Amino acid sequence: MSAAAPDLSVRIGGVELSNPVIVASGTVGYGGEFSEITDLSKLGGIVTKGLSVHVERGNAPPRIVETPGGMLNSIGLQNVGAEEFLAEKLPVLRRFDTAVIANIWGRTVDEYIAVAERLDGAEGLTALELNISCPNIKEGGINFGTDPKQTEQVTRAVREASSLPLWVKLTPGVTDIGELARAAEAGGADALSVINTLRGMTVDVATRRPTLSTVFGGLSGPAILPIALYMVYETRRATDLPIVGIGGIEGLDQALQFFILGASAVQVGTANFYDPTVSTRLVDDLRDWCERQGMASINELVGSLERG
Amino acid sequence: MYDRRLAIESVTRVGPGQFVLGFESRDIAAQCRPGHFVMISVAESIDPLLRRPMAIYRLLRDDEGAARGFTLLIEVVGRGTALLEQQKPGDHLEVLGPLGVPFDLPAAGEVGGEHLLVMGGVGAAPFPLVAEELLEAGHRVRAFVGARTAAALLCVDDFRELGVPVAVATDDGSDGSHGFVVGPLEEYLQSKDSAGALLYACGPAPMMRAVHDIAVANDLPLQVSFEAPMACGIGVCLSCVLRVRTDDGAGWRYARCCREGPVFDSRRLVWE
Repeated sequence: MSAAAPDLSVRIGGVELSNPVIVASGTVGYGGEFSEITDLSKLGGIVTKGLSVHVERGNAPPRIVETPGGMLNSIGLQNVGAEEFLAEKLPVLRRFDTAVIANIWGRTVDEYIAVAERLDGAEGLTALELNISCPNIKEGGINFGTDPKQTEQVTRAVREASSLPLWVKLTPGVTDIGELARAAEAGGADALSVINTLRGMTVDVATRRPTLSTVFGGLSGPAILPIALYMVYETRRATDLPIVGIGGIEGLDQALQFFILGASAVQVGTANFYDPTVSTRLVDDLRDWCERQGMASINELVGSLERG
Repeated sequence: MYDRRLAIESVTRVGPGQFVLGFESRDIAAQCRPGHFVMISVAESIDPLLRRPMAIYRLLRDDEGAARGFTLLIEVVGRGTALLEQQKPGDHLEVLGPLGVPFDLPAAGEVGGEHLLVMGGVGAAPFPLVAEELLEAGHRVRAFVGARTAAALLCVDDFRELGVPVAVATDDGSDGSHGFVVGPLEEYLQSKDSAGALLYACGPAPMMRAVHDIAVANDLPLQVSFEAPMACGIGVCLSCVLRVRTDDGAGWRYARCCREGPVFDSRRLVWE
């Protein structure tokens, strides 16, 4: 008699996912195009392109540059805005059996509140993910996510503006990510997404200009894996909130490391660009791996790091 | 659209740093239209990380004439294409496609003028297939091919085999007219009644800009095939944007080259 198939379902701060594989914000658009090449219903969840209350046109090209084992992007948060998302994009996503997490951002606390309020109560939305790696134009352009006070403030403001579970996506560009994790927790976060991209730049030697139109961009891809893993480790030490691990995942081995460090789910990002079926294959690979290990549930792996 | 791991069937050198990779894939080939592209991996490692966009060059056909595969005409321009040049028959690459909006070609029976294909460098890659389809539909086709030097000229033999008249231009004057390919194009347009001619262009941005100006001055339609740095090829990364006019003509917006292009009506683009 064979054992039952391993249970891949996970719970992230009040949200139940069919499995712990989520596709990260900005790497699958709003799901429509991506669904032509991969079966979204196989995924635990999909995080939308970062949404703002208004339409955002984005930065001038060039917007990306390839780097060793990674890429820099400076898309400039281009998105269709909350209205068009609700009217045109969310109805498409509702056709799939997967959790939909709306990533949101703003340039002021009021803009965060406005987009959170607009999305509140929308049918088919599972949770909000707060992108706090944005400059606060009312506070001299300091990123919300690098200042604990602002992190707590914007988290609390959105917490009060929305009834949806709230995930806060932490930026790695800080001295002590644990402090920011605790600030998000104090503001009412239900879970933490760890990490966003890291700042970086390259120079075009022929023109002696920055390669990206905006000088710097966000580094992602396999190159950032060890940083992301360490940030999850530090976040786990700082708080008991559920963690969604992100950064450099392109298959089973990297995902398992995040689970061992205490992530309850993972997001696959940049790998979707160069291997568009990687995320659905990861779901199968996780199930097979648990089976081979005789593990009844993926949750047995979460936070199982051996010390000393 | 399919994502396939394909064995390279053939590697053919065609010039300095220029080569053709052939792949057998009936499902991809059956969907290919002139102007489509694929995203192909360049290495079995994470460096370089991203796939590269490559235009479909020719279709490979079986004895019954059905498309059984496709080829890509590639020129070495950087690390990714240099790695591709090292590939050998039997090596495997990941191929996603076909992708994008192809050229809008008139069907058989649609009366029209001559179709003028204008290309520079490796921008020639999609045009033999364009010519093939136009000829099959009974249209008249003429090619204007530019390159930096005679040895780097691409697709001239393809056009001659198809019976398409070719005008050549080289930057160094080593073959054809001395200078850019827009020279012979302008001469041709002046030499005869060009009314009803339809223009198509692909090549370096300044060349396409010049062809656009000629199209506007002569009131001729022009389709251009663009290239831009892209990560995904399917419209989700938002890297490869170009400025296009909004439908009301009042402003502009960013359009994804991979999804709304790579072929655009030149009058939709905001030329800088």
